[in-house]
Amino acid sequence: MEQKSMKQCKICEEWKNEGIYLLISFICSDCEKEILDTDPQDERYQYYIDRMKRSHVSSLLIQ
Amino acid sequence: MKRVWYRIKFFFLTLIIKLKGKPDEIYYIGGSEALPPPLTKEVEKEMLDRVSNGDAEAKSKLIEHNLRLVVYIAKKFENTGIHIEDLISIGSIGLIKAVNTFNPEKNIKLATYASRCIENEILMYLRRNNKRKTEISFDEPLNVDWDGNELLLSDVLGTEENIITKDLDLSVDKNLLKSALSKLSGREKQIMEMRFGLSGNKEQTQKDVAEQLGISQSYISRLEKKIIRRLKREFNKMV
Repeated sequence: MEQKSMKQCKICEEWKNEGIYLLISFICSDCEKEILDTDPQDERYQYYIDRMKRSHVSSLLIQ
Repeated sequence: MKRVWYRIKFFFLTLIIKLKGKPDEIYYIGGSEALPPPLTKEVEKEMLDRVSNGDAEAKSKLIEHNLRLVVYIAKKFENTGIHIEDLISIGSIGLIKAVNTFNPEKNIKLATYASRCIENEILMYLRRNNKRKTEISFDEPLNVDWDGNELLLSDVLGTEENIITKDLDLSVDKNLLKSALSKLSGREKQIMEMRFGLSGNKEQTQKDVAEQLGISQSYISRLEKKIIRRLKREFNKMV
């Protein structure tokens, strides 16, 4: 049952229970926290942009 | 054709969501007008209350129903050279930050606050990007030879050999000069200070010095040569 409710995070690709949805993309709580702590000036920021692009949310939104 | 492709994509994505069991209704494909509509004031308040109790589902709902803002604001920055997909990703991050940091007790609507956060996020990214454009890496290839070897910027960059000791040498020279000048008579020292702008004075021509001291220019010239010879002797004694 526990296994069934797990979702794959679009950022870290790990299977987690807790997190948020951005349309079809699940973002786990750990990645969400990291995103909140990352500024556009940080090197890591581009990584999140690329991962979010891979989740296809952006392409869906620009229709 | 493009429209048909999106409809096919929509069908499969909806299917995936249903299979994964995401509980909420979905509105989002086929144009930004089909994105989840803004929530009513009452529902938004209920969601915010649930978010404050740690309800991730309510948080997702708040994010999704404000995605129109992301699209609207991202499109305003389309002429900046950043791809619209990037802008939407950045805007989405701004929206996530907005929903997480929104304080319902403050007298501001979530949509207003989120708009500011989204725009701010994009502006900060653009600022970083503009700054980076002016930066050049030491590993920037300047040229490639016939064998494919790259000539890097770091290969041609260099510094003067004495860059470290230059200031020290200058300081030592100044002290030597001061010491040598102290060996001169008052008049000789005055002539050197006037001619070469020592002690913060402005350099003057032999003619100007001669006029001020009431002697001929040729005499100043002879005196100057004599004083310089003497200073050289003093330097040689010191070093």
